[in-house]
Amino acid sequence: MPAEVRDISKRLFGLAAEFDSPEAILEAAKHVRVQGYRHVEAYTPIPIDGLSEILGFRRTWIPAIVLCCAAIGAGGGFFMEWFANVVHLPWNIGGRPMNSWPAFIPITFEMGILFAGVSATIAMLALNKLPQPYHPMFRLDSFTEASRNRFFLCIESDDPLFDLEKTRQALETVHPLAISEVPR
Amino acid sequence: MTSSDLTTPRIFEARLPALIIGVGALAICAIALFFDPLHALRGYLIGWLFCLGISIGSMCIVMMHHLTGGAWGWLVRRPAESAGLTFLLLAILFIPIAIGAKVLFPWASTAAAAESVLVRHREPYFHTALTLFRALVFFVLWIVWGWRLHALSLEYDRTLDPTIASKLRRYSASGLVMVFITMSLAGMDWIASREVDWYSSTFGLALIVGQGVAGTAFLIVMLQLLRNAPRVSDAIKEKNRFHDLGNLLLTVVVLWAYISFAQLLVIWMGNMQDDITWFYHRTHRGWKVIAILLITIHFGLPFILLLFQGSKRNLRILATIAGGLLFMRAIDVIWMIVPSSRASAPRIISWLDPIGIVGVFGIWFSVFLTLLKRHPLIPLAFERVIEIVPYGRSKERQPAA
Repeated sequence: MPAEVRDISKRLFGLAAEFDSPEAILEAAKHVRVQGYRHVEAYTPIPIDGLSEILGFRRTWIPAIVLCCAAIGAGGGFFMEWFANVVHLPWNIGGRPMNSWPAFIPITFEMGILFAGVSATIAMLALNKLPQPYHPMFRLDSFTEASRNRFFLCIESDDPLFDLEKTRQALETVHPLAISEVPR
Repeated sequence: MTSSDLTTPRIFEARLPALIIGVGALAICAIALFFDPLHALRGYLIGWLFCLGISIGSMCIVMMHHLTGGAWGWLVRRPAESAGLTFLLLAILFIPIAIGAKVLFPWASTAAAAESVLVRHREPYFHTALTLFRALVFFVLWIVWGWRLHALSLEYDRTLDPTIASKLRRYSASGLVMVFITMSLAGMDWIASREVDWYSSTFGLALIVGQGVAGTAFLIVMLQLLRNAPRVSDAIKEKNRFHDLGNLLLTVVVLWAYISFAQLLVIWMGNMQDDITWFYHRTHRGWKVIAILLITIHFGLPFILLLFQGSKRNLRILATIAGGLLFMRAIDVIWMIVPSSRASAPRIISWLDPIGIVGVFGIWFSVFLTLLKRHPLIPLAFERVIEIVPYGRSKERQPAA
């Protein structure tokens, strides 16, 4: 990477374009994706159907993590009851078999749900790199509008194609309300 | 009647073959009646209960949709209403069961009354005439609701009159209460009473939810069979729509497992002589294999498959899962009926059990298709009521008050 480019990505987080409608940002997102930009992020006040697909949203690891943790929780719950009732302190009350599995199912289920819920929350926060008290986009004065009626599309400076001039031109062709440099 | 979309789906060509196969299978049952009346009638009862489950389940789906709304229900409304119209047929098909009640049910059998003090004790409630009269009341209620739901829905199609929509909601709310009460009692009369020393307050609910699985699965299979009809293919183009049917199927499968397991758990923890006969008879002499199949294929496998979005957004895969569940419903009905035959008769499956299912289902399906063919497969109101929202899920327009 040439020194100049590295400088830019150290100094700049990216170039942000501002739009006033969901249709406009969808068009813009399509356009910059076609141009080949990959490190693109959108900030919108409402969920826009199809936007994350255009931006190349991939399936996350969360379902796999949650499934593993749920299996560990359920297996652990069942093992705990089985160990206590069959191995550690076998004590027959009521004439059922020692490994009285139907009676173990509720705890097994609850432990599976508990582990799934907790792991989903933790995995979501970790994969989103949260909690994150500061984000470069906050440097933009107009960014408070992103939670009201403005739609922001930011091409990040670590994109392989990022070039201050060319990227600006690419964003200009989709007629945003404004283009701003986002400092680090 | 005139719309061309009625004639295209090939499934309507199955009406005559289904009728012939059904009548043929029932003829075999009728011949078997002379040398093996118990098994012939039992097979017939199993087939009849299987079809009743589809009809009750489908009617519950229609009523639920009237109360909740949503685009998914419009896809299956006509097939579900047609299934709800078959109660008259099911009432007629009940006549052989009523005549053969002596063979099938302890409450109608003098031999069972002589053997068991419990049967004698229950005589006031299970008096033969009273039990058959209850059946008549159930049929009248089901026929009336099935007919009203269908007729009002057709009228709504013509007029789009919001007062009819609200009338449909009233019928649906009262109808769901009615079905849960009547079907619980009917389940006691026709299924649970065959296991003399057994009580369970959950049985009716578990049965109705099982019928809900049958109804939902049947409607999904019908959607797949009708998918090529012009208006049906337009209506299912948006994947989100039948995706919801897959979610509904997942819900009823999980609910069925939950309630059935709750019943097992309560009985298991109680461990009382009076409660255990149901599960004892159904987990011994090879029935354990069927019980494990019910856990794994009626619950485990569809549960895992239906968790994935991909299997709910592909109608062919969804219909395959639903078809498997419909098959497991038949197995479940066999599992409920066969092991509690009287002690003198063997508690094993007979070759007449599947014959009975084929017989009654063949006739039922043929009549169902005939009823379905009379009206447009997707209600005409569908395109007018459903609003397609760009970048979002389609919503149902609120009818003007």
